[in-house]
Amino acid sequence: MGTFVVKHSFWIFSGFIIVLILISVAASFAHFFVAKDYFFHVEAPCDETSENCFVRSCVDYCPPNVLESYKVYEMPAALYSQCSDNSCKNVCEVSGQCTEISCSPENEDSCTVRSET
Amino acid sequence: MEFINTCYETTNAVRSLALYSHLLPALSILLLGFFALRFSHSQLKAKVFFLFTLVLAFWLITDLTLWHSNNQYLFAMFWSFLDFLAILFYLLLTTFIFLDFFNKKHIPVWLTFSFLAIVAMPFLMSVTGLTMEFFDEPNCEMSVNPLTTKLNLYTAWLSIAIILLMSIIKMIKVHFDKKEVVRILVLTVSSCAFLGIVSGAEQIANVTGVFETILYSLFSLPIFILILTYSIIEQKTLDTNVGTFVYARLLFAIFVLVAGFSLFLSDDVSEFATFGISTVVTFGFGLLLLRSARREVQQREQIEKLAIGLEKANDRLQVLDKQKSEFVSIASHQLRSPLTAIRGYSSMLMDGSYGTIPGKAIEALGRINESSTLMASSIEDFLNVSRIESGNMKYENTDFNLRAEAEHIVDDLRPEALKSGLVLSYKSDITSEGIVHADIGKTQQILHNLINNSLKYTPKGSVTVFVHENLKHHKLYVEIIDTGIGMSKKTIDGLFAKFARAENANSVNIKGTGLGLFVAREMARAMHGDITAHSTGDGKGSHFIFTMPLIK
Repeated sequence: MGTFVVKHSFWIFSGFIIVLILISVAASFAHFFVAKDYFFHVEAPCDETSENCFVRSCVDYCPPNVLESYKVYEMPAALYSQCSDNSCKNVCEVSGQCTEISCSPENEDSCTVRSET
Repeated sequence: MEFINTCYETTNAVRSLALYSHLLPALSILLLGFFALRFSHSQLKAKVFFLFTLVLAFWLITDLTLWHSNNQYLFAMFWSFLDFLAILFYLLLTTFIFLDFFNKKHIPVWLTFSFLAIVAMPFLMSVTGLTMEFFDEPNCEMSVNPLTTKLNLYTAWLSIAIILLMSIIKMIKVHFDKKEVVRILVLTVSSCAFLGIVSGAEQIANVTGVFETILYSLFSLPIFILILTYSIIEQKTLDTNVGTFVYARLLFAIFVLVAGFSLFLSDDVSEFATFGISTVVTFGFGLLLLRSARREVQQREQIEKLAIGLEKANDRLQVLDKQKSEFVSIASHQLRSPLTAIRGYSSMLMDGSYGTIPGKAIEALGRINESSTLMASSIEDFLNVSRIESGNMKYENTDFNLRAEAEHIVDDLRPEALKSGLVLSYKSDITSEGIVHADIGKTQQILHNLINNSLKYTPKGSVTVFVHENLKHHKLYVEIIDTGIGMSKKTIDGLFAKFARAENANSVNIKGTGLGLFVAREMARAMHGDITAHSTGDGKGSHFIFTMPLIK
C-alpha cells in the first residue's frame, strides 16, 4: 500500500485536484445555471418625493440604467428571465416574490432625505 | 423602459483589453506547461508544473469568459468557482517550487493532505454556492462573500511565506552557491511577485468594485511567464532539450498574434497605447528569449553531431582493435611452433644427443637457445594480451594456499638471484592459512613476473617478498620490495599500460616487451585481486603489492 502511494503519488495528487475542479464546475452549473437557486438584485426607478430611495451621483460612473435615485428589489434568479425590462416590475408586481430592500443610512447607504412638511 | 443587457453594457468597452490580457498568458503558460511535460516528462516537478499551468490557464479562460458573457446565469456560474481555481494555482505553484528546491521524487503524503486541507473550505463554499451573496444585475457583478475574498488573500500570503521560507532553506543547503542562489532568487521573486499582484488585484477589485484592476494586473503575467521560461531554459530548472526552441518560437508567435489582434480590435487611444507599450516590451523579451534558445539549440546540435561522430569512430576502433588482436594471436601461434622446435633441437644439440659438438659451436647454440627462450616469452606476452583483449583468457579457479606458492617461487628463483649477486628473502606474518580462490597457474605467473621484474631491475642489494594479511577486510598481500633503480611518479602512473617501460630501464640493460605488468594486473583483477606499484623515486627501490581476497 505504502509503495503504491509513493509510486503513484502524482496521479493520486492530480486526481484529487481534477476531481475537485470537476465537482466544483458541475455544482456551480447545477446551482447557478440550472436550479438558479439564488437572488438577483434589480433596480427600479424611484420617486424621491413620495418614496424612500437609494441615491447616487452619476458624474463619475453610472450603471447602464442611468438611475440616480432608485429602489432595490431582491428576486429569485429564476424569475429574472421573465422580466420585460431591467426593473422587473412586471414580475415583481405579479408574483409577489420580490422583496424591496429599504435604503438605510445605518448600512452606509445613500438615501433620499425627505423633508417632513 | 427598454431592456438593457447590463453585462454587455458594462464590459463592452474593455472586451478587447480582456482578450489581450487573458488570452496571451493563457496560451503561453499552457504552451510552456505542455513543453515542460513533453520534454521533461520523467520529472515529477515537470508534471506538477504542467498541472499548475493547466489550472492557471483554466482560471484565465474562465475569467475571460466572464468578461465576454452576456448571459447573467452563465456569468454567475463562472464567477462562483473562480476563487477556488485561484487558490488551487497558488498552491500548485508553491508545490512546484517545493519539489524543485528539495528535489523530491514523489509527492509526500503529508503534502497531499495539507493541500486538500487548505482547499477544503473554498471547495465546499464553491460547491454549495456560498462563494457569493447575490447577483447585482444593474452592474452585472456578483456580490462576493467576504469569507471567499479572505480565503483567497490568506492562501496567497501563505504561499508567499512558504516560498520565501523554502528559498532561504534551499540557499543555506546549497551553501550560497552563486549560480544556484541566482536561480533560487529568480524563481522566488518572480513567483512571489506574481502571487502578490494577482491576489492583490483581486482584493482591490472586490473592495472597490473596479474589476478592470484585474485586467491590468494580468499584464504582469507575460513577464512572469518569460522569467519562468528563462529559468527553465537558461537555468535548467527542468531538463528540457531541443523542444524548448520550438516552444520559444511558438511563444513568440503567440505574442505577435495576440498583440496584433488586440491592437486591431482596440478603438480607444489609451487602450491602444497600453497594447502598444506592452507589445513592444513583450516583443523585446521574446526576441531575447528566441536568441537565447537558438544559441542553446545550436550548441546542443553541435554536441550531438560530435557525439555521433565519436560513436562511429569508437565502433570503427573497436573493429580494428579486434582485428589487431586476431592478427597478433594468429601470428603468435604461427611463431610459437617453430620456436619450440628451435629451442628443443638446440637443447638436444647442447646435451650431446647428436654427438659431440665443438666448444665454439656450443657457445653459438647457447645464444640460439637463450634468444629463442626470450622470443618465446615475448610471444607468450603477446598471446596473453590478445586473449585478455578478446575476452578469451580462461581462468580455472580453485582454493589454494597463496602463502605457500609465494614461498615456493622465492625458493625457485633464489639460485638465479644469487647468480646475480642479490639476496632474495621471504618473510610472512600471517595467522590464517592464506587460502585464496583463484587460478593457480595464473597466480604463479603473476608472482613469477613480479619477483623476476624486481630481480631484473635491482643491480645490487636485495629483494624481499613479504606475505601478510588483513583479516578484517579478508585480504592477503604479497609485497615485493627491492633496493633497485626505483621509479619516478610519472613512470608509476603509466607503468601498467601496454608496452610501458621504466624510463631508466636502459640503465640496467633490460630487454622486454613492456607487456608483463599489464598482463599481470589484468589477470589479478580478473581474479578479484589487484597489483599496485610504489616508489619514492629514481634510485630508491620499488615496492609492488599483489592483493588477493582471502576466502571467508
